[in-house]
Amino acid sequence: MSMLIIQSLINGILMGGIYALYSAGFSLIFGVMGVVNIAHGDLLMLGAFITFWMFIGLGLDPFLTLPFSVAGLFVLGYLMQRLAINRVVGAPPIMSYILTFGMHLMISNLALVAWTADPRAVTTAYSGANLAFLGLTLPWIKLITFLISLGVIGLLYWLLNHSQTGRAIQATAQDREMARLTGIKVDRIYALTFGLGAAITGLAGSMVVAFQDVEPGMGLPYTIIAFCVVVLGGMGYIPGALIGGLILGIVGSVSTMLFTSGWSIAITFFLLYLMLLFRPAGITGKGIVE
Amino acid sequence: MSLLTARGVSKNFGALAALSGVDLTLNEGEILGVIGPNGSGKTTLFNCMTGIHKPSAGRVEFEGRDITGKPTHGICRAGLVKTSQIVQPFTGMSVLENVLVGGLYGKGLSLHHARDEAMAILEKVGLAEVAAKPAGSITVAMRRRLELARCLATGPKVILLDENMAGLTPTEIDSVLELLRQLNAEGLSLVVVEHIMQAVMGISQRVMVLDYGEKIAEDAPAAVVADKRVIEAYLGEEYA
Amino acid sequence: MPVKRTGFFIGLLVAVLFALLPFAGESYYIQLLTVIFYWIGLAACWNLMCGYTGYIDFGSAAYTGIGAYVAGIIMVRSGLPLLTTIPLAGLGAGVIALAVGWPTLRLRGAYFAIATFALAEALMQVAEEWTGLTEGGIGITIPQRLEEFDYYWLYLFLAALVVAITWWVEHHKHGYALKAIHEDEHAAAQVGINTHTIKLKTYVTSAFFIGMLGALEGSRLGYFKPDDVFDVHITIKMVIMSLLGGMGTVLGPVIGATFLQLIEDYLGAQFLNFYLVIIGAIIVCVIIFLPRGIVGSTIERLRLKFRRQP
Repeated sequence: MSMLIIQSLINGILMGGIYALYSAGFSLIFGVMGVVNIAHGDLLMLGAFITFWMFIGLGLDPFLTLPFSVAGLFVLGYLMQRLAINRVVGAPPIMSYILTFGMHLMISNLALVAWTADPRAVTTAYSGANLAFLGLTLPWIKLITFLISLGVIGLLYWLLNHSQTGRAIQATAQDREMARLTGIKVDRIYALTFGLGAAITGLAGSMVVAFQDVEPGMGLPYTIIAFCVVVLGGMGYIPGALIGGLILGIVGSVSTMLFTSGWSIAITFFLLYLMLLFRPAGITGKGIVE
Repeated sequence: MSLLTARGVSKNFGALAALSGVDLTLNEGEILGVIGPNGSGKTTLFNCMTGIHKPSAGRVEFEGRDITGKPTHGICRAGLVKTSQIVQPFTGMSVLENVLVGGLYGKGLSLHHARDEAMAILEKVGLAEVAAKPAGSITVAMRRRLELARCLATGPKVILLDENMAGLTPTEIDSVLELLRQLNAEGLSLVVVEHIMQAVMGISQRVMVLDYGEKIAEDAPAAVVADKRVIEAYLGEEYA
Repeated sequence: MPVKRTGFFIGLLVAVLFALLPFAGESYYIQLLTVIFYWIGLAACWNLMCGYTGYIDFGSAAYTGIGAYVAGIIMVRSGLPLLTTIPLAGLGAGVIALAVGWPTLRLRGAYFAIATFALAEALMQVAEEWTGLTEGGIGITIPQRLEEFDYYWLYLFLAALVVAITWWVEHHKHGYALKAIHEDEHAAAQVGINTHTIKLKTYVTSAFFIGMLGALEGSRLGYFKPDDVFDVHITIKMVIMSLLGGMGTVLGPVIGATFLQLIEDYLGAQFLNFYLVIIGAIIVCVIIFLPRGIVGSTIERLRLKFRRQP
């Protein structure tokens, strides 16, 4: 039993890496533009499908498809912001919620029309390979996705704090008008931010195929997971996504083991509710609350 | 008798101490001026007193009752309101409706009574002619008066005015000062934060000076302008 | 205010005329109108909260679901008459709304949107998993049913009632507070408005009526599963109907719901997924090109026209 729990903890941590990566994209977009991207899970689903089709169609190794989904989702995110969301930045925030809600409907249902609701698995020759360790099994693929996730979050954090574009993004997040006055092209920064957030999400989507089947409806639960992760870690605070992601990964994995996956969603919500009740700024206390 | 007191009020934003241990006393029927350079904590002090910020330390009392960290709407209903530095009328409503809302909720009037009162207040501040216009369409000077009118409608005992005269012409300032004197004569107590020194000096019975979140002087207007520390704070050390 | 009263009486007259319609026959139209009234009721509830305060509920299906299950379970377990269970269903929904609204309505609107969105999903899962109470995915069969015309009248009554409440809110004290909150919550608090309480009251009222409508619909269906009554598409329709008609207007949801339901009736349900793609596209276009909805944008245009005249 205790071995089972430890195994489940490890699975949760590995899954948490992906949660963290993908929620960092959500948090970035919220922190900079105040946009709650309801279509966020659908971007993850698109990333997963890019990997699936390149693997099936071209026989490409899933890990080699990562650059394609990053590039593809970056372009999509950039265009979404440029063509649509940009028009409602500065309008009451609800406009952006409803707008991304419309995008969620479009993307998820187009995917359903195009690819049907069938779940599809990506199984490689090495999918079953494990690192056996003190009676525990660590699937190599999941371990690698975990390390990539940590690396990319680190890279994102570094970019935001040390590159010129990153500083411009932060300046824009703090005060849009001030940024405009200092010569920052705010529209371009917003599009870049959304592109960046979408790209990270696409990357996470490509890696999530190591954990589950690919299907058009997979996005919605991930959107909810992103909400919970960023509330746990603090909305708009990137390092918070890492903490929130790991916690949620563990909670999800352990509660699925003890109950069922349906209960795990309910427990996740309950956790979200407790956070909103007692500590809305997140465990780190650095979230944007009002 | 003191109507409004702040004792040792401090406010930190992260590592930044915006206010440290500020005391303020406002007596009934008085006009108190608060001056200080930009970023000296004037607005933060007002926000701490009206419940918009919760002070990190210290205590605020209004009519002898502790109101530290109480909700803004409750403090308003008790009779303490403030005008905002950045005027924000409800732009989707008419000028009259903006004032009406103050009477409805600040004073708990019925729609009928609040309407009559709002009209009377608009007469008093000189906005009766634009009563039906959308609040978004009037000039900045009028918006400042509207802000004051909205406060008056809540039936306050004390109004905190946060740079209510910024951006106005000298003639406009004079007429606002005239209005404030009149309101004061009718029994309203005021705390006036202003960047424009003359405006505050002319109207206040007492003036306190903030610098870097601390009170550096408090005295009659004439004495304050002669204070060495005040001159330093405003003009730099070489002038002192 | 004579003009305002006239509007109210015209509305009342229209409602009375519709109430007399079943005596004229034609059951196809009665059926269609029954569904339309149901959706007008739901959209008007959504609009009352979200259109007026600007806090967006993405999980209103939580309340249709709660309503349907509360009424259904009580009927199955205790055999109470259907009409007695309806208000209880409303209360159930109201209590959940109170619990969710209390912490989230003090925070930024984003948190409310997030929490409600997750709530509907979580409740559906609970209904799926808690088989001892809900029969889970097997579904629940409702033992009592009203006459076809009774649903027509009840939906008409509830829809008219919610629209009337919206009208009342618009023209009375409460409406000014909601408008002020929508525009600037900080400023609203500074003129003495207890913003949290007012938002909460409005939200609970809205959920109460959604719960009653959900309970009635559950009994009209006769049999349902968790994914029927907690269906995210219920929320989607409420949002799009209010949005199309114009959020924060009395007649917006009436027009939006009628319009969308007629289109849906015409197109039929066979293109469901593709239909949702189009709905999504419409939402995106409305937000970008007609942000105030059909009614709102028309009012705005008329007002501008009116203002230009000397």
